[in-house]
Amino acid sequence: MNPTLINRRSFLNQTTVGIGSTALTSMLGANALKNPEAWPANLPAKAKIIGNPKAKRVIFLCMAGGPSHLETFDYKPKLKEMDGQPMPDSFTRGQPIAQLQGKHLKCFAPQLQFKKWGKSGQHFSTAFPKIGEIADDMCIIRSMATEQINHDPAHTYMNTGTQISGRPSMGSWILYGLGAETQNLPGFVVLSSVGGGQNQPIASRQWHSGFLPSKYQGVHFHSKGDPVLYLSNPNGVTQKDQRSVIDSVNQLNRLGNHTLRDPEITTKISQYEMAFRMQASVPGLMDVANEPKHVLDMYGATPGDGSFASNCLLARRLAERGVRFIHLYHRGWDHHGGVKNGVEKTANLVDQGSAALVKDLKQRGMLEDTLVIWGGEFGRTPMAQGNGRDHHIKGFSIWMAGGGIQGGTSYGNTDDLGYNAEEKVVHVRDLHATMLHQLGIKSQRFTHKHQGLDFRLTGVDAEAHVIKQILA
Amino acid sequence: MVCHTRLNKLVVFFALCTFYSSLLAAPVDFTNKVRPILSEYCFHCHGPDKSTREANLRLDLSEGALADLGGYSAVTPGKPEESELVFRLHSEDEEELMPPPETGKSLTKEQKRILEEWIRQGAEYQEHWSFLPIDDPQVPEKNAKTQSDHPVDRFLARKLLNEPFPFAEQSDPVTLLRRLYFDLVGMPPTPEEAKDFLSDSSSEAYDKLIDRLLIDPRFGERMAVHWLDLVRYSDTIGYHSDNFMEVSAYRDYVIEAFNENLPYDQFVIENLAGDLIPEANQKQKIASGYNRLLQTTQEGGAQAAEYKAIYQADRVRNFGIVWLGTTTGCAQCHDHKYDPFTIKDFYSLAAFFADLKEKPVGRRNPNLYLPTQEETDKLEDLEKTKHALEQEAKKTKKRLEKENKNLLVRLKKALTGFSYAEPKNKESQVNERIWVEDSPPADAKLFGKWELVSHPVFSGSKSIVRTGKGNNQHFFIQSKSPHTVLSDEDEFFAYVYLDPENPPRQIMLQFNDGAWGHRAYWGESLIPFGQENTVSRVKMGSLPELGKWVRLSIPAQKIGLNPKDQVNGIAFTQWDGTIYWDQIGVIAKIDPRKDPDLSLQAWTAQAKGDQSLAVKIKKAVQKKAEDRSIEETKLLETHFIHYHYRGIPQKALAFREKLQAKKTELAQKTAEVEKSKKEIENHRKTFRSMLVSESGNSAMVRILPRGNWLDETGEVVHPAIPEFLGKLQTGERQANRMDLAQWVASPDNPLPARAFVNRIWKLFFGYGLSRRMEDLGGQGEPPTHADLLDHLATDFRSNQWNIKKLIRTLITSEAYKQSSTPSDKLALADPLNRLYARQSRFRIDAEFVRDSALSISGLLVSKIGGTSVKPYQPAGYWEHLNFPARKWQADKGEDLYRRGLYTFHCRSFTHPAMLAFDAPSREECSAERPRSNIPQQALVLLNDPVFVEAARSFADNLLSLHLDTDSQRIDKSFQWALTRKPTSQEKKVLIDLLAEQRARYQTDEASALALVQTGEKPVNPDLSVSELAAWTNLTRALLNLYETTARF
Repeated sequence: MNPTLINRRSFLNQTTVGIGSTALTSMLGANALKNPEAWPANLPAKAKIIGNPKAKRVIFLCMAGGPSHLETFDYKPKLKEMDGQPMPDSFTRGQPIAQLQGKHLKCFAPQLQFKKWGKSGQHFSTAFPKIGEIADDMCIIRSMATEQINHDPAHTYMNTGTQISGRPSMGSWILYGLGAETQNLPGFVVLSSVGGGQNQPIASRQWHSGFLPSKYQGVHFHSKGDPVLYLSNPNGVTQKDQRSVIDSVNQLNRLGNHTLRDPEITTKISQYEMAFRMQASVPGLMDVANEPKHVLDMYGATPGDGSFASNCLLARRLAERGVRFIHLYHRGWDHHGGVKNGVEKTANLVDQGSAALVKDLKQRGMLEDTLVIWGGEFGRTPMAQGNGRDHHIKGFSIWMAGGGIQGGTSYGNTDDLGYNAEEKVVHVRDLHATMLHQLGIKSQRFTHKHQGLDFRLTGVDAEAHVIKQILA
Repeated sequence: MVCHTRLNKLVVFFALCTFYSSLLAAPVDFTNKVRPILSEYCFHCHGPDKSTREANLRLDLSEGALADLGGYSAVTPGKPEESELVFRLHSEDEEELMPPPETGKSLTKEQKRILEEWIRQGAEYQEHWSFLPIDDPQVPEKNAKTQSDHPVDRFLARKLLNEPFPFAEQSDPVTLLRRLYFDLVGMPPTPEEAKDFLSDSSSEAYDKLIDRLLIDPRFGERMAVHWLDLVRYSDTIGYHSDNFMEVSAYRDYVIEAFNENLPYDQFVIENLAGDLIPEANQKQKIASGYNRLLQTTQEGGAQAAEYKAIYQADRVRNFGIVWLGTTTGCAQCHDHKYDPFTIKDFYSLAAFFADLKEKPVGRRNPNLYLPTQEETDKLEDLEKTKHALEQEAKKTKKRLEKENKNLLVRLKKALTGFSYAEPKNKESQVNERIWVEDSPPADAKLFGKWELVSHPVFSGSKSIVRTGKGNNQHFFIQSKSPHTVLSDEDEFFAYVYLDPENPPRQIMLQFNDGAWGHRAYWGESLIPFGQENTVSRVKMGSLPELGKWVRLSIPAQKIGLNPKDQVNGIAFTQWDGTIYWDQIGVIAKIDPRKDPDLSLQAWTAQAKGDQSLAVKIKKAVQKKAEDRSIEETKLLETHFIHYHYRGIPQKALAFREKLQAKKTELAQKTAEVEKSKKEIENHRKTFRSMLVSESGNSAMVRILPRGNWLDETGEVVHPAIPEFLGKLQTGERQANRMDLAQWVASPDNPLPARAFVNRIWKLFFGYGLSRRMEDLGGQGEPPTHADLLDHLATDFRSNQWNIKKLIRTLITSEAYKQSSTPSDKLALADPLNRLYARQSRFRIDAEFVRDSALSISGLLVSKIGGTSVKPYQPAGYWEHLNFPARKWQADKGEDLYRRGLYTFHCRSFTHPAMLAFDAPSREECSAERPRSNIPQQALVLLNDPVFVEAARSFADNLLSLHLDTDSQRIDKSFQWALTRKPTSQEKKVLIDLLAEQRARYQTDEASALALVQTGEKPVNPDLSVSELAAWTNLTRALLNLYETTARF
């Protein structure tokens, strides 16, 4: 092996890399992946984690706050019958409960109408007329289960596979494993929007690279101010001035390196070039005004409004430009009260954008290698909290589309009252394993050594299962 | 049997291997070579954790490896060909192969050979190196690689002896000087500081420099940055809403401890158990804040039991890494898979911290206040005032009691012969109640300013005045004597006087019956409350006549107040203008049987909740009529007649009013005392405070099987150190945190000194002697120089844990002074610098990147300590924080230019400039920062306003010097940023940049001005703006150089 390379590796990555050549590939960054067409054939043959990839990238539409599965994708007529009656003790005894601790638990009927959508007759809420149009592309999972009942730890769990802070987010893991296909943009991008309900906080730990090197951290693109922090030149400095300063920096760094011969300096020079390219390309990327009107209309996006719809459109643009993992957060699903109006309102804010994204990817031929995942950090109780619902972790719904997932299908069920996922339970780690599988990664072997342990996204202890039945 | 075929295969295999084994005649090192392989590939299923142990085989102990497995054993000493372990490594049968193929792990040929050779040599086990007592290895003799007498050099040279390269040359003085400054104080030397060393040609120059730097107060700041990562120090709580918590005094304690060279054993005790030191001083209490630095939550709906479990585990994890240098986290759910830590050990350690008083969910109130002298003085003043008021109130009370007694006698006399009868008919009578007269209502909560004036006044002595712009108001709510609407004829009234000089455009009265849903207004429709044409917004007419008192009257019915509604508050709202209000009240037709001033029954009914009544009366009031004794019935009647009944003779009424007035007088005095107390409380709230350890009753700690907090089946445990490390001798007494702290600092414990020395070594040599900073345990790496580590650890302890002495030892070695540039040969042979045949080179830490730029530019404010500060941060960066939503408000003045370690640290949104340079979020212990090299770093150095402002200030300083040429200024700029002269090529690059920028800004003054106005520091008016701008881009280039931000 080239000694310079090893040396650089040691500097870039003080912690030992556990997946050998794959991580090396990602360290080489886009160089090894210069030709996206050839992906993943040009990855080193030794990279054992590569299976048979169906998806090249992931767009995760995180419905933050915990959408009620009972008003969206999981219809429970029995719950309607039992409206107002006490929740049977057999369901709730010894179970973790959030704000309803110590309260009388009463059944609360589904508050919205459901209908069958598409040729496949997928059954879900009338609150999603546009998502209804893509029903035949969706696979709905109604048997999700997680382990954390409060927002912050539940997001951490969904993103990192554990509640303990300091572990890498799934976007970081995937970027670490596969690298990005872009020279101008970060490989893991986060966008966010609000509206429709209590906007619970979201911490940047949700896109942190944890113990992986910082270069795998998600970069949050803001809808106001600089889209990327510190992206704009200082006042009074034009792009040409900035270029001159960067040229001088790089020249001086090169001169210094004649005697120092430090590979870090070589890297530094290339990072200044990358920074400059980002400065040049991000504003154009973020400016959706140049999209044709029919596209803007399809998403329902107004350029610069920071809405979920605009973020969906940006997600497509990021995907086109080779970003590996695109994570959208819509903070507005925490409906402790007024779940009927609340879900309707928030659904209305995400319906068109979500559907347009899938349609748009499809018409561009990108849906087949883009895995779209839609869901929150948990669901909500079948029990009433006033006229709302409390947090619930034992059963909830998400959907996926594209990336080799079978459309027009559903998987798993909760019990009659929508409390426990009881048929084909999909734990968060199974979702992770399935996502990695579609990207060609065997979760069991995708490890990084830290604090003496081989860490995985899917956890160090329990086994994670790929949900084979939903694969196309 | 299976065994036979195995043996046959192995015999063939070993015939082929004889050649290799002869190559490995040297003794195989168990610790360095064998154990790491076993740990990596075998212990997960055949290690200390019995719950996941497969085939009942453990390979971490000799007994396990040699145990009889039914005619054969995993390891047969001396005979690899008979060892099942070796067979399994080579098996071609997927069912037999180890490690199992599905783990994706397999041994290299070299690793297999090592295990075979180890077995051939007798398969001797050694206990894990870091758990063994520290011995005192003899300092090796000089050898061909070094002439140095320094023990560090001798130990390193011994290992280097068989290698084909020498130690590197000594660094040039400038590199060495900068290295020392970065390593010891976290910023480069100023030109004057550089001169002190570079112009001193004496042989003591280097030692003198070290002397200077070790007493430089910046030393403590530099060391604190490292320490604060370990203990996960932050200014916010971490989880969910991530609210502010004030613990900055702990940061200052750490700085001071390093500066004063507090012995490490003392530091250990103060951190873990400072509060338990008898007569602990303030500093020691602050130190014990260590136990409170962890992440906590205030999330509604979070369960206390769950968070108790989270916190105890967090504390044990942090304790393990910080003080023992080992990870314990695995043992939270099961016995450790690689080290002898059991799940019981984990929870027994947790039990040491179970005495800490703490609210598991919700805001944690400070339990130590740290007022400044000024604040203490003010507090004393306030206390004095309070005392005086208390005395006065006491005196007044005494006097009034006497007077009251007298008045009561006269009242009683006036009532002689008077008898009371319950009203019988419902004949209504009009009753007027004045709510506000001469003062705000005393029994309600007040909002807005209630300003009293003596002119104009409608009745009594005072009126209430308000002047405002736009919508403004004052109001009271939650009156303890609400008005219950009696009939449709109730009518509220108020007198107003509108200032003819400054009349309002609208006035509004709002009534609260639990909510503000009833409003009446006069004039225009501007105040944005309520909905027009509903009772929430009823127009009563145009504005009343200006310049005279006018009675406004509001029939209750008209604004939707119905009988039985209780009005407990009124708001006085206006749009613009000046208004005087006086005599506000209500008139109502009253049925005497329901009037508490006319009916004993009615009074008794409504007095049930009155807490101000005397005990006896209260008791009687609360009973049912039929349950009262005759005395009680009489008592109530007398009380009623004396103090409430309106039907008593006029003369008696006069005495009662006087009595009432005295009561009010006393109430006022009491209120003054209360107000003074409140003021003291508010003053205290402004003090710097701290969360420190406070010991209470120890909570019961159970083992949580699989870490599950809902599982209550686990064994109850008591505080104990990990069993394999010994037992605390506390006799009958339950061990506590002090025992734990003393054990950490005791000579019996081999881990703390090794862990600390290893970390200090890393600060000065770039890598730890044992490379995994957070784990000296089985999954870490054995030290590259175990003897050196032990020598230093021994030395450290025998020097009373003297930290500065330890550092001095490291930096006076020849090895420290070596050049960090490797020869090509060395770069190839030892890329990770495991031999230390050169110094290490790396980018400096995030905080020091900032400090260096501020120092070079002269902006740095070198104040030590204090509460955390807020320099510039991009707007909107905190937009995702909530409960409450908040904005980063940058400080003003000198707090913008403090060192990086004082920047407010937010766990969920750590300052982005710090984050870009790998500052950790401090949610968990971080023993080692990555050193990344990413484009965001370029964006920060190029565009973050503080770096632009630093460049401008740097340029300002250059231009303010009396120098003649650009060339001289560029020389100076290099001197300041890099402590050296530029080469001619380097100078040319900058001359060209300057020429270009100068030409550009001379024709674009506006841009020039925009650039130099970046930051809060005023622009120097004596300089040409275009010149300053051009030079600012030049100095920006210098601040962006790798050499500026790296330590070589």
